[in-house]
Parts: sequence; structure tokens; C-alpha cells
Amino acid sequence: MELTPAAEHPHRRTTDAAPIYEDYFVNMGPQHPSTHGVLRLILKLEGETVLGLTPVLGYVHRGVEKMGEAMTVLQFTHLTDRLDYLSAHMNNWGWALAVEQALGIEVPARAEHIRVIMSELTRISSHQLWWGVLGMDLGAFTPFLYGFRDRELINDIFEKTCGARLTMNYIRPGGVTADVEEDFAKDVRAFIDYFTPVIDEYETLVGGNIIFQERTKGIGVLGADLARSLGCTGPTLRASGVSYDVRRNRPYGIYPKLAFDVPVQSGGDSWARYLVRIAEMRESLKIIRQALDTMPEGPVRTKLPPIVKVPPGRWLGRVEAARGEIAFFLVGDGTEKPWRLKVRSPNFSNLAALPEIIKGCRVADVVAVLSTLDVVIPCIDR
Amino acid sequence: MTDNWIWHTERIPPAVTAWLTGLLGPGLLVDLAKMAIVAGILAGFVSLLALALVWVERKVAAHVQQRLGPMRVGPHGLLQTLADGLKLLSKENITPLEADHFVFHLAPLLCFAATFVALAFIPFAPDIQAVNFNVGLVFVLGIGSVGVLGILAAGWSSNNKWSLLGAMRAGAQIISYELSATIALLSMLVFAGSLDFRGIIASQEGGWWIWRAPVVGFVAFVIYGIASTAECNRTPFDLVEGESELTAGFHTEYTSIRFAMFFLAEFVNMFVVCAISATVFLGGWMPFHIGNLAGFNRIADLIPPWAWFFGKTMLLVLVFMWVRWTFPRLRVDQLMNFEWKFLLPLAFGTLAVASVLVTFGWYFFPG
Amino acid sequence: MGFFARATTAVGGLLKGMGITFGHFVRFDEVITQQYPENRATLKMAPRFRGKIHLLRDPESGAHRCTACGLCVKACPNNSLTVKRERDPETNKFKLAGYYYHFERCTLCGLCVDTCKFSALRMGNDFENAVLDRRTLTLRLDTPDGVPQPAPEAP
Repeated sequence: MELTPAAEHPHRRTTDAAPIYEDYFVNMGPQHPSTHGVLRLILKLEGETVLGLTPVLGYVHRGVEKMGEAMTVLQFTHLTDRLDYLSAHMNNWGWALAVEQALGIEVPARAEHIRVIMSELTRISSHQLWWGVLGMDLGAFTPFLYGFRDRELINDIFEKTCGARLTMNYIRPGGVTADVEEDFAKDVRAFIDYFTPVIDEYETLVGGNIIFQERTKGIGVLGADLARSLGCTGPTLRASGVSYDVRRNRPYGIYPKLAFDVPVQSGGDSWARYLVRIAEMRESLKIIRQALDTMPEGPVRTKLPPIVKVPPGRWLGRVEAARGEIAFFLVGDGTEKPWRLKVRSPNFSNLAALPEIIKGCRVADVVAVLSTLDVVIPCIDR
Repeated sequence: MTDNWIWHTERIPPAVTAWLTGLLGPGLLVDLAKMAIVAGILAGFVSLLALALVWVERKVAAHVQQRLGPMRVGPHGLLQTLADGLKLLSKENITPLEADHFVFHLAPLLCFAATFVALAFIPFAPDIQAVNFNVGLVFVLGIGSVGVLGILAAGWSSNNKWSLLGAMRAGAQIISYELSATIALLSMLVFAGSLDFRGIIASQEGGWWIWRAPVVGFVAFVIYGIASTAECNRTPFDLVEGESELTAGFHTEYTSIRFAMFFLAEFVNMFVVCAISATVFLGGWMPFHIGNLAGFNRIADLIPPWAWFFGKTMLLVLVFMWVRWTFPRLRVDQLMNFEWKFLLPLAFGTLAVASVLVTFGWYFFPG
Repeated sequence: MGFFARATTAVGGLLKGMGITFGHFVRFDEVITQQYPENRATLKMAPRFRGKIHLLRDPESGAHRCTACGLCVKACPNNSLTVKRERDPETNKFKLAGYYYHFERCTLCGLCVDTCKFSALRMGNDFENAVLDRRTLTLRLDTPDGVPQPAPEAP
């Protein structure tokens, strides 16, 4: 974003040329209720209209990639939870895929099914949180609490099986930590039965509200070409009319055996992103049901050697996380530790779209568009 | 049973005057004493009102969201607001370094005074009204507009960009929506034929204007409801504070008692607009009567007038809260479009139709 | 769609939303709030919940199962475990001389429990981990009575 000298400012009102720059800058963040963490956005305003926006990143940079080079590949799994903490299982899975390719291990069928169920539950819980926060960002507090109410149920399921609610560290190279506990299938089915009608409630309370529609329709339009060139993935990309989903285009796990649709919208605006995510929740329920029905008995973990050495070479583990494609690029040099590690963050690329699509919107739209892009800051800053 | 001062509140002021005259002798002293008493009562009432309204708001919000709300301080958190108030009072009173000190300190007082003064004109029950004034309604509407001055002053003097954005939104919003609110009230005044609150209530002897004025009564009621929500800066029109956008809008920089004043003013303001709505559209303290059903009317009369007034007002307040905890917020341009392109023309139309109806006497139960 | 049709849909949508919130408002039995400190007696964490780690003892001999092999120390990504060991003069084998747990560094990932070949470690169910002094987060686990004690002397 460049500064406009006062003399050339298109909306110049005063005749005296005293100030050099007369743009109105405000800092949204790093401490702001709606930047979803410590993200700082520098807004250039003309009244309420946004002329430009610059995201400033790095407030929660922890050097995860560098930390990974000092850890063994097995130890690094628990740090992937802490990237995009709302898709912890998928992050685990992406890393596990990279390591499994490197070591050439097969994963037992039961573990594959558990991974799918856990990942799709994570996707739902992430979208529930997104739905609630979207409501709150637009000024409605109640959806926030409803979203959290339903998210609790998934968290309880996670807690029972994985032992934690947010940073599960459950999917590990070679399978999953432990077999699901005995009530798992019952709990998940109960959740599906409970949640199916609740999505309709979501759609009535927020999607059916004319104020919400007016606030999202036609706002923050992200074209398909722009989305593709910026590397946007996930619901953000699919809302722009590009049907790309890692689960279908680069299949992993048992996804090829499952029947599911990839919701696509052509609008590219906030409303389209809303529709895609709501539809994804329904699809995820469908996937979970199939995976539960076909889940075989058997072991859940392949035995790994006591000391896991990464052979020299390069591997890429990519999965579809709740926000898009997360990929782990692993370069091995024959030691226990990765020689180089790169995390491809979907949030980073999705956030890149914000400055492009926000120009000409109002201040309130910044919040709404940021919310529908659904970024998680720790994943951006890593 | 109903023949005592609880049901006939109009007996209280003469009795108090007589008692004071006996105590102090006739003269100026009695008037001063009466002013002091009324001021004391109103101040106490405002405090209690704020306590009650904040508690109700919290409980409504909580139960809408399947929570319990405050439960710790007092039974069901009844004293939570008191605790919060004490906490606010004990906080440091911070004035930003670059703030315009005089205006910064004046703003919360302006806001609070505007709503407080408006309370003096509200008839709570027969003759229970601090000031009787033959253009009371106009005065209340006028004094209510001073509040926006306080908000603007607060936003400007804070020397904070977010505050300024909030204040500018407030200025635009409140001034615009006051037009609709006033015109909606005006179309009822055409029916009532009086600007005096007593006259307005007296004109509803035969039925409340919300249904006695055919259709326009209800339309005007809805218009006033929407416009007054905007005037109170409540969701879906809470752009002024717009927590998710402006953090706290015009009162971002305010702390301690000054913040409490804004907070108090907001809740009292909500009560005032609901009271006006209840008075103009729902007959104020009039009990609900149905034509010739003498039995029903007698049961309605068993409820004292002040209970009717507070019942109606609280019902409207609850609707305000219900709306707040359901809807998202509008955007600033949509807000203006809605007012100038939809609500205001509708209000003018209502006024025109109301005038025609009154001219030809086409309304229900013409006296 | 005409103006009036649109207006009707809009108002209908708003009213439906209000219906949902009102439906929840009147259902007092739907309240999901947990009154936390009051419900301590009934609040049970899932058995697998990962809290602080505990050292386990052999039920027969009563001795710690830990053989001070140090695998958990190697597995820990955050260096939150330190094992001191000494040679037993009689058997000339290593034995545990101090098991230190830096809880302030622990991320509760569970890798130590996973690696232990002797099932000497378990993750507890306690979740109330807040303390007023961070020094009390450094614990010694192999105390005689089995209750972890703050160990400022920990390496």
C-alpha cells in the first residue's frame, strides 16, 4: 500500500498543503476483538471506506519449522497441533503422511478409518467455531455460544479417545496413538443424529437473516483466477468456483473409497464462502457415517523401529485441513532429525487474498471478510 | 380494596404538599423541598433501574444462549451489577494524555443528563410525574438529542481514531433515526391531539392508539420501535460501539465512573424510549379494557396503574433485548439506506394517512 | 422478485431467527452451563485425559517401576524430564536417584508414556494445574509417599 501525497489525493478537501500525507490510517490489531488472534491490519481509510490494507504478521512467530529441525520426526508431531489448532488432527495427519512416505510404512486399515473420522470431526468442529465467530464478528453474539455449545460435544469425543481437547497429538506416523475407546462409535453416531438438524438451525438463525445476507452478499469478491494465483485453497478457493480438494484431487487415506461431494460455489463473495462451509459440514457428517460403517477391526499402529532415521530424500505430506491444503515438506539426511522442514500454511495464502478483495469495502466489511476467509494466526506466523 | 393510594396515586402529591406545608409553612421552602424529594427519588430510581435492567439483560442473554448468566453475587446474581458498579468506581480514572480534558470530562455528564432529564417527564402513574408540561413529548424528544452531543464530544475529545469513527457513526445514525422516530410519534399525536403526556394518555380512554388508529397505529409503533432501537445504539444498530469493529467505539478511552455513566445512560435511555412507546401507543398506565366486558375490565382494574405502566415498558424492553441477542449488526451505509430510503418515507406515509383518517374521523371507537 | 415479496421474505427470516432464540430462551432445561468450582465432586475427566505425569510403582514390591533407562528423557520434545541415576553397589546396575519433571515446559504430548518400556509412567487426570509460583512447577516425582514435591534443586 503506497501513501498518496496530499496534493494528489483524489478526495482532497483542504486547499492548504500543510500535511504531507492526509490519509487516515488506523491499526486494526494486534489487539483487536475480531482479528482472531494477534494479527495486525493497517487500514488506510477514507471515511468508512477502506482504500488499502496491509497485514502485519509475525506476532506469534515461534519458529516451528526451525524447531522441527532440532527434533526427531516423531517429536515434531505434537508441534503440528499448535499450527492451526482448529485442525489439529489434519495437521498431525499431514505430518504423518510425510514421515510414512519417508520410512515406507503402511498404516493399518482401522487406523485409516479412525483418521478419517477424527479429521472430519475436526473439520466440523472448526466450521462450527467459524460459524459462531462469523456471527459475532457481524454483531450477533448468540451464534457464538451456539457454535461453542455444539463444538463441546466433539471436544468431549476427542477427550475420551485422544486424551486432550485441542492439541490431541493423536494421529502419529504409523497409525494412531491408541485404539478408540469403546463408546466411540456410539458417541459419534449420537453426535451425527444431534447435529444434522442443528445445521438447519444454523442456517435459519444466521443464513436466513436478511441483515446477514446483506452484509455478506457481494462483499469481498475473490475471483477464481486471483484465488488460484494467490494459492488460496480450501473453502475459500471452492467458493470462488474452483473445484479443488486434496481429498479428491490428491487422494490420501481411504478417501478414494468414500462417496462424498465437494461443495463448490461460483460467487466468490463472503456469502459463497458461508454456503461452502455449511455444505461441508453436511458432507463431513456423510463421510463420518460411511467410515464408521466400514471400520474394520485390527491393529491401529504399525510398529516403528526404536530409533527412526529419516533416509536422505524429499517427501511431501499434503492433506485437506479445515481451511485448505496444509502440506509438510520434509527433507531427510539419514539422521533422526529432518534436515529441513517446511510447512505450507493454507491460512497464509488465504490471508493474502484479503488486501486484494477488501479495497472499496467499509471498515465493518474488513471484519466480515476476514471472518469468512477464516484465518488462524498461529498457522500464518508458525 | 382498590380505594387507596396504591390504586389512586393522584392522591399522593397533594398529600405530600399538605404535609410539607404543615412542616415548613407555606412559601418557597415547600417548593424547594418538593424539588429535592423528587430529585432524590429519581436518582434512586435511576440506580435501581440500571441494576434491574442490566441484570435482566444479562439473564435474557444467558438464557437465549443456554447459559445461566451471573449466579454468584446474591441469589441468581441479583447483586452482580452492584458488584460491577463498585468495581468500576474503584478503578483508576484515566484521561488520555492528548485528550481534550474539558470536553472529555463533560461528555459522559451530557449523555447521562440527557437521559436523566427525560425521565422527569414520564408519567409513571396518574399524577406521578416529576414535571407536567404541556409540550412534554416535544421536550423529551429534544432533550434526548443532547445525548448525541455527548457521544460526539466523547469520540472527538478522546483523541483516538476508533473513538472518532464511532462518534461520527453515532452522529449520522442518531440524527437520521430521530427523524423517523419523531414522525412516527407525530402521526399518533395527530390522533391524540395533545403534546402533553397526560393528554395523550387521556385520549386513549377508549382504546390504545396501537389498534385504535387503524393499521397506521401498528405501523407507527413498529417504525418507532426500529428507530428508537437505533437511537439507543442497540443491536442491530449498535454500530456506534460495534464491538467487533471498533472495539468500543466512542467510549474506548473511558474508564471507571465515566464509563459507568455511559453505560447507565444507555440502559436508562432504553427505558425512556420504551416508556414513551408505552405511553403513546399502549396507553401508558391505562389498564387493558375490552369494550363491554365489565368482568374482565374489573379484573384489569385490580392491577394498579403503575404496574400496568411498568409491565408494558418492561415488555417492550424485553423485546429490545430479544432482538439484540438474535440479530447481527447492519453496516453503516445499509443503515443510512434503510433510514432514508425506507423508514423515513414509510413514516411520512403513515403521517399522511393518519392525518386523512383523523380529518374524516375514520378510526375505531371515535370518542 | 418484487419489493413486497422480498420484504416479506426478509421479515419472515428475521422472525424465524427470533423464533429460534425464543425457543432456547424458554427452555430452561437446555442450560449447558457447568458451575465449575461447585461441581468438583461430580466433575470427572475422561480416563484417558492427559494431565501431569505420575511415576508408577510395582504393586508387589512397592518399588518404582522406573529403571532410569532414560528413554523418556530422549523422547521428550521439550526437555521437561530429567532422570538422575546411580549405580547400585550390590548389583552394579543403574537405579533411579531422582526423577525430575519440569511441568512448566511440558506440553502434555504423552510421548514419554508412549516410549516407556516398563509402563512406569502414566498421565494423571488432574487438570487444575494453576500455581502462584512458577518454581513450584518443577517437581520431583520419585518421592517416598508418591506425592510429587516441588524440587528447586532439579537440574
